[in-house]
Amino acid sequence: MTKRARPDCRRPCSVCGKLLKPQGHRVHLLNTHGITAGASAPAPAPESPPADVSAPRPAAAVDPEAPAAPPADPLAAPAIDPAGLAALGAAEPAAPPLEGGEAPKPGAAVVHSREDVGRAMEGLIRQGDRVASKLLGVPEEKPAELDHIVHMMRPGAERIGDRLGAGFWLLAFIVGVLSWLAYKVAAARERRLQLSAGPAPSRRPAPTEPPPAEAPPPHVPELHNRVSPLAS
Amino acid sequence: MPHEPPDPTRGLRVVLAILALAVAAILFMVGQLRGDVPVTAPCLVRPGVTAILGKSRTGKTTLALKELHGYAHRALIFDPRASEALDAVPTLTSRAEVRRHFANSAGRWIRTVRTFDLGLYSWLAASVAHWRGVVWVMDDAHSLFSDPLIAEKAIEVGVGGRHMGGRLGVELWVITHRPVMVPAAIRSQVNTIHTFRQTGPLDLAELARWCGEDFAERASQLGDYQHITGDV
Repeated sequence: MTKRARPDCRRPCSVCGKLLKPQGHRVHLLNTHGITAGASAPAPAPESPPADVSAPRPAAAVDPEAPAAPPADPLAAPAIDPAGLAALGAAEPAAPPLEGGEAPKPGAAVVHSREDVGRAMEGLIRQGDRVASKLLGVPEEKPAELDHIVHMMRPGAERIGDRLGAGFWLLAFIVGVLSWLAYKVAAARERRLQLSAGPAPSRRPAPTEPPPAEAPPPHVPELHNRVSPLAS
Repeated sequence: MPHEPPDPTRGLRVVLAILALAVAAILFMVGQLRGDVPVTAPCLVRPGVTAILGKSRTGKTTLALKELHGYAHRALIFDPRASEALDAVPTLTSRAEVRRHFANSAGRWIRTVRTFDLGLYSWLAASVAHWRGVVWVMDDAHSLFSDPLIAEKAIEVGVGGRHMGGRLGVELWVITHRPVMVPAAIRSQVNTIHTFRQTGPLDLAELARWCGEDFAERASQLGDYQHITGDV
């Protein structure tokens, strides 16, 4: 009697992809990932109804919040950098209403920090500069004053000196002390070597010896001017 | 035994070496502070584009989801046709939900963006250069490529995705039943092809150009829900 092949009813886990039977999905989510499936459990039915895109999905119920990862883990970083998040708009979905009771328009950027203000102002300044250049017919060029203003509106933390903080000055102090110590040690060692070697060799040229006496004139046989008696 | 004369520049050399070390330490510290991602962060994506091809309702999206579960750390699926295979995946249907998700997007996750508003897809695609370690899956991609901004961003990711996102990379997957409607700049970057049955002569010719005549011949003879994989 041959065993009849049964269709595989297993479905991948929505977090880790492990193949699970539908009845074990909820237990697996709770035990392995610590996610409690709510009324809208994420266990997918074999026969899914037609998708209703207007209804929001139970994203929070199966949200695979990763456990606290070590800082070196690249997955611990958000999946978008701050500039991209700013490009998408504010992170917070619901901003408090303005003072006049007027709620911000949907999709409007909400400013949360000094960085946001700086970026927004920089964009406005550039935009205004472009408009002015078109209206006045002058080449688009941002004056230096605007650069200064934009720089001043950025938070101080962006300036490298502030980011380095006290660590920079501490490092500079340590380097200075180490340099001074190394110089002193090297000088003392040099002095000790000189003492053990006896009197220091003079670096000046040896004192010049007295110039040699003038060489005696070559010996010339004395001529005796004697008149030979034969000459007379 | 004569003593070696002490080197008078020894102390100076020690001081210079310490100063060089200090400069190196400062440069390293500056580099660490300026980068938001650690220098040693590994790239989370593979090079090249992955294409999943085949006729309608043959299992392309189901295969993509299975592959993503086994491989991708973070995946964002553009799902303009509300594919049934993605019903079990948490879904983002509005800009507010997208913003909220990206604001807390650390860890592993798979999300579907599902709406009939093509503007939301292009709005989100405009920020793709800021994503980090995300696999961008375009289901029914030929309909999304009708938006020039999406097509432009997809080409950017296809050509240089591994250099994007602070070295964590962005990877592009294309799911379509009309490979001839994929921009040529993306087709040229395809590394891996999973194909189900293909019968269109133009699509088969394109497949033959990618992977050879034999591969296209086999793709035309596949049964339901069967697929073959080839590397370009």
